[in-house]
Amino acid sequence: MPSISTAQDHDYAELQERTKYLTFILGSESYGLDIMYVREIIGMQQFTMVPDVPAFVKGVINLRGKVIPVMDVRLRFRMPERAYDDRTCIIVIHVGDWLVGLVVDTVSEVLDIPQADVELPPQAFGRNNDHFIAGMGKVGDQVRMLLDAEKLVGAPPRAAATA
Amino acid sequence: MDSETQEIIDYFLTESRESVAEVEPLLIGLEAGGAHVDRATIDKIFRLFHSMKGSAGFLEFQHVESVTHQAETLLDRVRNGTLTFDPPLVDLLCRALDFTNDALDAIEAMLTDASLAEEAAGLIQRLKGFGGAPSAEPARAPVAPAPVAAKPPSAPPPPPAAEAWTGPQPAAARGEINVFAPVAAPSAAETDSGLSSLFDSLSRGAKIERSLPTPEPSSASVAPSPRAPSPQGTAPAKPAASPHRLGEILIEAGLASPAQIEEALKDKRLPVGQKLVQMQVVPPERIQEALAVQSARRGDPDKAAEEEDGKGRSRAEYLRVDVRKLDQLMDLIGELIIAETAVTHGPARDTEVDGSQKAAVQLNRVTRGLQDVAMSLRMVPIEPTFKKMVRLVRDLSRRQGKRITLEISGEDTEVDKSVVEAISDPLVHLIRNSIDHGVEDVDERIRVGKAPEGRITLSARQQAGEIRIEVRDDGRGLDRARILKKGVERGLVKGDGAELSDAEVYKLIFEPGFSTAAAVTDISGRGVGMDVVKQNIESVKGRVEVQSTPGAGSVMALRIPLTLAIIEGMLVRVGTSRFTLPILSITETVGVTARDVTRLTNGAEVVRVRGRLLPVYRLHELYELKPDSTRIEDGLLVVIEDGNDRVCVLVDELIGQRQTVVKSLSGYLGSVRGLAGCTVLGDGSISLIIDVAKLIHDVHAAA
Repeated sequence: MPSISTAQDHDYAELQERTKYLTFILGSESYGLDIMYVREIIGMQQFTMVPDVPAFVKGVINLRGKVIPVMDVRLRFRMPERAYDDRTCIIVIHVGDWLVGLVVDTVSEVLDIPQADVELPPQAFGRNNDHFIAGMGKVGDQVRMLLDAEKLVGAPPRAAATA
Repeated sequence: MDSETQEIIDYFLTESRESVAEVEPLLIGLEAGGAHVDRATIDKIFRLFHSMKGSAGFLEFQHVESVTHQAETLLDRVRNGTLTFDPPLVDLLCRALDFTNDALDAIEAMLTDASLAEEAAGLIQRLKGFGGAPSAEPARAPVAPAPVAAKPPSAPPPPPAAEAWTGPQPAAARGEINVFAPVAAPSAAETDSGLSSLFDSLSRGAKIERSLPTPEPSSASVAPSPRAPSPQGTAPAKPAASPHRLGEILIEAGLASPAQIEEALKDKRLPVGQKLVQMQVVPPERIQEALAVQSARRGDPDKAAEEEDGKGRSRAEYLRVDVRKLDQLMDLIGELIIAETAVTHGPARDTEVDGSQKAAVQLNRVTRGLQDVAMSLRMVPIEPTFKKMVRLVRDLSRRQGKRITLEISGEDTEVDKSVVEAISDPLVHLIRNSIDHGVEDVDERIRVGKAPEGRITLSARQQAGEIRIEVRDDGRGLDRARILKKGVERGLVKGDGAELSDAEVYKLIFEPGFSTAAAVTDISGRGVGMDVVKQNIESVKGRVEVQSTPGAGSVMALRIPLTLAIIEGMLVRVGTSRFTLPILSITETVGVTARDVTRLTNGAEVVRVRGRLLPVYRLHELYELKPDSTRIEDGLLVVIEDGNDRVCVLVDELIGQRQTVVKSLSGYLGSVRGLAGCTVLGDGSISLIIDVAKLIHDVHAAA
């Protein structure tokens, strides 16, 4: 911390270094998504299946006349599927040119996490899904996995289709 | 202010391009007419050149003005009989049109045609020197209306000439000057020159109105020739130009004085900005800022230069729309409001019938009408696209020493504007191909007993929700053996390909880089053409079909859907999923019993419908769905066709016919097997739309 700084400077620096994250829950874990990507949160909707896409793409939904694909984040992370209930939500995010819906168990809150409290994910954790993780945010005594929205959505799920 | 001038220039560009496109076929038509020159056509060509000249002069695109002026002069000499209308003249006039097109492109990109000074000068020399110029002409500076205005008395038949002068074009030019002069005047940087340019415009208007011979100095300042500056110098003409000019922006910002800009403008070799930096008037970084302002004012946030083809400046596109269509639209909007009132304020109280149902019917009717009119607004006749080919056929056939006539039919067929854009290049390639490979040269044609003159027919017609455009030639046809040989050489065909159908062989010509030409000519043979055709046509969901009769010619047909946005669809159900099939692809729906179905050794099923054996596609198997029943007799077979291919799809139920607004499936999902997109149904759920051609193709590819 700089020893000589006006209050204003400090606030500004603080603002620069903080990011707001929308946190959501899958199973027992809590994840965060940079709020800049989030368009809206909607309840579960009926979706229409689309052929030839990986299992994690559940299909498409009609969002006020716009047709957008929906991905089940559990399946994306190779976690066991779980029946949808009234707490299941779709987080609509805007990545690149696409709007994509993310099905999550439930949405919890918006958190302000200072950059200083974000650590890079330890390499050693690596298994299937660590490449979706942009960092680990420490909030109190808990840790939130901060997701990289671009990697989560990834390239159009084409090649995997025939598998 | 800025946007107004911009608008005028945009309009000028649109209009002039149309004029060029109109003149070309007229010229070539006249040429084909031989010795007899149709007076009315010459007059029309003359007027088109004249109006281009007028607008260019007003907007001070001096090179366009002087070239069109010279062309006009030549035409006038044809008109009064001192010059014969022959192919070299057509060539030269076509050159003038090419120049005009180039200049228009330059104006679009840079708002000035100054970069074309050299070409203009060369062309003007040729135009002036053509066919032995009359004695009065060369002595004079290329003065805009003066020599022509002086013509009518000397022209042999005075009435038509007078008609040409008092006719619609000059009147229109006058109107423009009166309307636009106040716009142009304040844009001048100096009051002096503003006044003088206003004066010029007015004096020209007056001149045309009264057909008075003009005093020399004033006319010279109207049309300063690039080679012979007017007595007053170029100064008065310059500053009245576009408000997007760098100079004006700098003056506005107080970075340079008008005199300094003038000084900088005199050096034609350097852009104004660079010159100013060189003169140490303005520091380079200020020029950069001013350039940014300039591009911003042109409605172009990214710098124009960064975009390809000089098309960076985003230009408003104009579409000519029949006023009757707009009237219809207004009527329908009126009805819509009434229908809306009926729905929102409840049905009329006194009706016995179910009022809401009546309102719904009314609303439905109006919506359909609105849809039709809205679609028709985008529809433009294909004529200009076809007319462009006239010049192409003329030039190419001459270069090849062939004699070919182009016949055009169905040019009034209307197609969506996007379709017009997509077919323009393919037509060029197809016609080049016909000229280069199809039609034989005169000797060969005589040897095989054909008329010495080859014939290419370009036609368009509407056919069941599609536009069918054909390029037909009476040449030698496609050479199956040669294409096949090439295909085998290039590894596109397995084995010797003897078992392939003609259609399959002909398809090879659309492979990228495929060419059977022994030598690469300047017209074709590099094998780039046909795959462009295929790609462009597929981009508008169309298809290319090839037919050919050896020795008798070939037909290339482009089949393109009328519109891509809304289709008439049949909603069908498979289990809980609903699909939409385009009605136009459906030939019939049949129920069959298990006896009608034969299972082939590879597991595929065929069914006999009206004596024809058709493959069965079970949608539930294709898309891994749970149907109500897998027994074929419980479901319905919808027979769909694409060209000559006909297949049956098995569905559980037909739900009904729907107007279907086609939406693309999210770009994220890319292109999905057999699907054209999706649509949102009335209850908010989504139905996938089946693309029949793609379905058949994709199933074949998977097999």
